[in-house]
Amino acid sequence: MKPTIALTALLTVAILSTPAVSRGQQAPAGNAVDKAAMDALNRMGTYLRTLKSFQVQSTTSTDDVLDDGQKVSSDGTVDLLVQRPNRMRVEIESDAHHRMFFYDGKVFSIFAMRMNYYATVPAPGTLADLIDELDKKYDIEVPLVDLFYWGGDKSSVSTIKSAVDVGPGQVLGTTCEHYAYRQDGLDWQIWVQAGDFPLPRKLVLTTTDNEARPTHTSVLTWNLAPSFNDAAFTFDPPSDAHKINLTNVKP
Amino acid sequence: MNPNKLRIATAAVLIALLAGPTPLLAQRRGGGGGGGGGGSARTSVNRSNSGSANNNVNRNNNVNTNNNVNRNTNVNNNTNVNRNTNVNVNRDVDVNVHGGYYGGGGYYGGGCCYHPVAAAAAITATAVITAAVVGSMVTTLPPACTVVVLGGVSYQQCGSVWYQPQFAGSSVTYVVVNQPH
Repeated sequence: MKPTIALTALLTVAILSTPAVSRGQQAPAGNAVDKAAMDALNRMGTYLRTLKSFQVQSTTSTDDVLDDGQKVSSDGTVDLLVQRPNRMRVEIESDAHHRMFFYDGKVFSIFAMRMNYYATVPAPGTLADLIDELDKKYDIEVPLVDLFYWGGDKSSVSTIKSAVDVGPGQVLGTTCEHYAYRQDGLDWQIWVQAGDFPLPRKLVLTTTDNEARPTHTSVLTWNLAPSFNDAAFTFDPPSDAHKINLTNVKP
Repeated sequence: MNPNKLRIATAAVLIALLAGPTPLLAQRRGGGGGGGGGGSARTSVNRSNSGSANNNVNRNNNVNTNNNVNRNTNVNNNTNVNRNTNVNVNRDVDVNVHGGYYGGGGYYGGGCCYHPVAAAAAITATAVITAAVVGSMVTTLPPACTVVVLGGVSYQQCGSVWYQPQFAGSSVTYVVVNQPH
């Protein structure tokens, strides 16, 4: 009879503890969407849309997770030059990679500088379409790609489940307001410059659907009056560089 | 296991052997899901539904889903970004030492060229021949390859094995091809 008793006891405990667990999950702290935090995001997005040309330099830190769950972090830099509606130049550098992207409204080129390989493909006529095509057709993400989404209709703002105004915070000596948001699989924070120029100055993304919770951080420095000429957006391959294919992931 | 699969498995093992220091070979998988580790931090807020982009060079590329070093691929489809993932396996290696571009020049302070495969060089000659299944893909070349341009296409000739480099996402991978004519 002992097994039966044990089983009954187990079931009893299980039944008794269930309501307690449910209650505990019903009102997790901070699970509210603060209107001011959402407004700040929209205001920033609207402002970003008004920028005709800009240069952003960013220092980044990105966690990767090894098979055993150990996190390793790598640093990098991004230099993004944009002239709307159809020009972009990007340089991405880290210990592992050095890439340049060029977009002149007609073609897109990717250059792997250390390996001296490049690829050039026909490109759509606007940055918005280019970013979409790079994502879907070539599986390439433009760094700081969120800058192109915020304030637009493809932004993920509507999926935010929690939004909090953390308070003032300094980023590289600039006074910002610090906000924290939660979406499915992602907790993220942003520091938005205080005052009339609501620029994102720092981003921290924590991937929450990975047990190791890897984080990506970007600190942004803005130049709203960059100087450049058309040649900046056109790739002129070095004579000894080799042209290779850019694989179409969705032929 | 059919002979083809066996061959593929052998190739994978040998390539893995060639590819460098064992601990860091740990393959990063598409993030999310938890469980067995792997993955990378997402790097964008707004691309969350681009899910299919997992971290691996072979993520959406079914050229050779089964015969490469990336054994633990596609565990889940909820990651995006950061496809430059594998520790060392996918690190840029300056295979044909060239001068700089845009003020570039030697990298790594002049101690040019990280060669994760150097330590395994002794077994390379035979292993490469055995491992080179045409159509398979690697992220790192064996040592001592030569760039050959034929008909406007760049190849890497490594002994008797020919590789064609390509961008898969923003990573460079190498597909084993038949010797071009």
